[in-house]
Amino acid sequence: MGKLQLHHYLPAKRLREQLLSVAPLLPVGMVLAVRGEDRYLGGWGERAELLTTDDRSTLELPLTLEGIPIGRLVWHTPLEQTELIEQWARHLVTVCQGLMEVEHARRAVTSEALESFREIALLERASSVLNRSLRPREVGDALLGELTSRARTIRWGAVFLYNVDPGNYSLLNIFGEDAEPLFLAFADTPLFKGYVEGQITGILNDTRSHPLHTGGETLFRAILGLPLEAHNERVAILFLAADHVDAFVSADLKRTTALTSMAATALRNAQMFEAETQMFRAFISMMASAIDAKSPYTAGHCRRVPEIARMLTRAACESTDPPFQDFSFSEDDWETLEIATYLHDCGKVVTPEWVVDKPTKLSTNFDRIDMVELRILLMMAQEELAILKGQTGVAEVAQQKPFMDDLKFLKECNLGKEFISAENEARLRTLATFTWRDAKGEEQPLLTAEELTNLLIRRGTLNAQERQIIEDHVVHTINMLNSIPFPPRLRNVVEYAGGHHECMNGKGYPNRLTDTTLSVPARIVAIADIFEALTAPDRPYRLPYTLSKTLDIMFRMSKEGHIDPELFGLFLRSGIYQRYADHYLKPSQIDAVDIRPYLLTPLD
Amino acid sequence: MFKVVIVDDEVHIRALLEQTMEELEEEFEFEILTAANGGDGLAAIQREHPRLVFLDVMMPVMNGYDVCAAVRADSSLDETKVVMLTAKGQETDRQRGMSVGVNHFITKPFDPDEIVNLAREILGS
Repeated sequence: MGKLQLHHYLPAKRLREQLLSVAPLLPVGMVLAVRGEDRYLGGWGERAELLTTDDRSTLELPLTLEGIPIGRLVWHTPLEQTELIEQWARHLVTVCQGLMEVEHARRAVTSEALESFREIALLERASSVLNRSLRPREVGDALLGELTSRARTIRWGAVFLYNVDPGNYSLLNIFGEDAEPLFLAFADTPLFKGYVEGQITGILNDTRSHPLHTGGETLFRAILGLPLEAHNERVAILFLAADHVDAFVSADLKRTTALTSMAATALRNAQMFEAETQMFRAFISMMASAIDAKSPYTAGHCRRVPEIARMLTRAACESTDPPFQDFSFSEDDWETLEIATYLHDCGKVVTPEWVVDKPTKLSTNFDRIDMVELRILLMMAQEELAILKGQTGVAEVAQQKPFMDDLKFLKECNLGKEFISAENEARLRTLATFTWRDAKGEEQPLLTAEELTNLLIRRGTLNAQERQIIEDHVVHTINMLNSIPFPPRLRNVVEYAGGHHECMNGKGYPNRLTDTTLSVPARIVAIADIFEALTAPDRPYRLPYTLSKTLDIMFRMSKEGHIDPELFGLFLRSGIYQRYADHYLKPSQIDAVDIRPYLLTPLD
Repeated sequence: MFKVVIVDDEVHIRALLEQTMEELEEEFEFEILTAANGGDGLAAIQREHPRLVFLDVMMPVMNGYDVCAAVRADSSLDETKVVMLTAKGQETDRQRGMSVGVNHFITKPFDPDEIVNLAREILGS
C-alpha cells in the first residue's frame, strides 16, 4: 500500500455535505479549512483555501487514519468564543474521522478486489504467454519478459536450467546489462548455492548482510530467487536482481511465485517435447544410416541428399527472381524437409540389395557369370575328352566352338555397359543353344532361359521385374511414411519424400505427378537425389561421373521435362554444385564447368 | 482539467475503476464523475465533455450501445474517447460496439494495469 492520502479517504462531496450542515451554526467571520498533506480539500469562510497555521490566531486538530495523522482541520476566529468553537471543530473532526473509516473499509475491499483482478489478468496472460512455445529458451524468455516488463526495480534477471544428470545448472535466459558475466560469476558464490540448496528462498533485500555473503564484490544488492519445480522435481531456478537494497516487496514475491509455478510446468513440457523430438530425430538418423549401410555403394546418400536439398531450398528462399519471390520456409517447413530428405529412400529397407546394387546382368545374390564360366570350362573339358576318344575331329572343335572368345563376349554382355545390337542378340541366342553334360550324363543348356533373358537386357543390368522392384521402393517409402502419424506441422513429409522420382512431364513414378501437382520442395528433393546419385563416387555399375558430365546429364533431364528447369537454373546460378563438389567429391571428379550454355537466361 | 466519466450500474465496478485511476493522479490532473445508468451517464457526458468515458453495456434506462451512438451523433463530443467494458466471452458485443463508434474494449474482469495504460495513452494524447 502506498502513502495514505486524505483526499482518498475523505471524498470532496461528502466533506462538502458535512460543512454545509455544520458551518452555518458557526460564528460570523469564522474561517476553517480541511487540508491533506499536500492539498486543500474544502473549507468554510472567506479565502479558506489560503488558511495556514502560520498565523497565531489559527488553531488546528489532526485527522488520523489507523493512528497516523494524514491531514488536519485548521480554523481561525477573531472572536472570544474559543471553547465553543473548539467543540464545534472537535465535532467536525469526529464526523470526518467516521467518514474516513467507512471509506477506508470500502477501499480495502476494493483494493483486495483489484488485486484479484490483477492476479487473474496476470495468470491469464502468463498462461497464454508461457504456453505459446514448446522451446525451453522461449518459455524462459517469456517468464523473464513478463516479470521484468512490469517492475522497474528489477535490473537483472536469469533463468538457470537444472541438468538432472550431472546435477548442475546452466544459464538459459538472461535480462539486463552485462547480465551474462554477472550471473555466471554469481553462480560461483555461496549465495547461489544457498538458493539452489534451499537455505535461502525468495527475497534477500540486502545481500551483503547475509551470513553466506563472503565479501566479494557484487552489483546484486537485492535478490529474489525462486526454484521452478514441476511434480516435485527441480526444473530450473529463477533470479531477479536489483542494484539497491530493499528493492523487493512482498507483492513482487507473490507475483513471481504465481508465474514461476506456471512457468515450471511450461518449461517441463517444453523439455519433454524437446526430448521426444530429439528421440524422433535420432530415430530418423538411425534409419538413414541403416539404409545407407545396407549398400556400400550408396553409403552417405541419405546423409548427402538433405545437405543438397537444404542448400537449394535456402537459395530459393533468398532468391528474388519471379519464380521464387513468394517462396518462403517456416521453421516447421525446414524440419519437414529434413525428415523428408533423411527418409526419402526409407522404402529401400525392403528392397533386396542385390537388386539395388545389381552390378551385372547375371547377378542375383552372386554373379552367375562364374557358373557360366564353369560350364564353358566343363564343355571344353568334355570336348577334349571326346577328341581324345576320337569321337570328333580337332579342326571341327576349333571351328564350331571358340570357347574362350565366347566367354569373353558373354562377360562383356554381362556388364551391361553397351546396348545389345541385333547381331549380339543373335549370337547370345545361338550360345544359349550350346549344351554340356551334367553328372548324370544329361545334356544341359549353356545358358538357362532366365539367364538368357537377363543377358538380353538392352540397357543397364536390370530386367523389367527388377526395375519394378526398384521403382517400388518409393511406394514403400510412401506407405511407410504414411503409417507415421506426423503432427499437422509436419504433414508434408510424405509429399516431399515420396515425390523424388516424379517428373515435371508426368512420366515419373509412382504417381505420375506433374508440374502442376509437384510442390517446390518435392522438386528440390528430386534434384538433390539425382545430383547426389550421379556424382556418387562409388557405384558398382559405372565409374563416378565428373561434375561437368553430371551437369550435362541434368541439363538434358531438365530439357526433357524430367526436373524443374527453374530450380535447375537456380542450382547452377547459386553455385551450389561447386560448393558441394568442393566438399564431397573426389578431386578427380571436379573438372572445369561452363554453366552458361545451360542457363535459360544469361548470367548478370 | 480532464473529466473522466464512469458509467456502470454495478457499484463495485465504479469503485474499482475509480480506485484504479488514482494511479494516474500524479501524471494528470483530472476529475472523475460516475453514473449508475445509461441515461444519467449520457447526461453527464453531454454536460462535462469528458476526455474519457468508461461505459458498461447492459444498464438500466439506456444501454451502452445507445449511449455511445448518442455521443457519436454529437459533433461537440468528437474528442471524447469511449472505452466499452464487455463481459468475458461476449466478444460478439465488440462487433456491435464498433458499429456505434466505441474506441476501445476492455474485458471484465479487467486488468488494472491495462486500464491504467489505456487511460494514460488517451489522456496523454
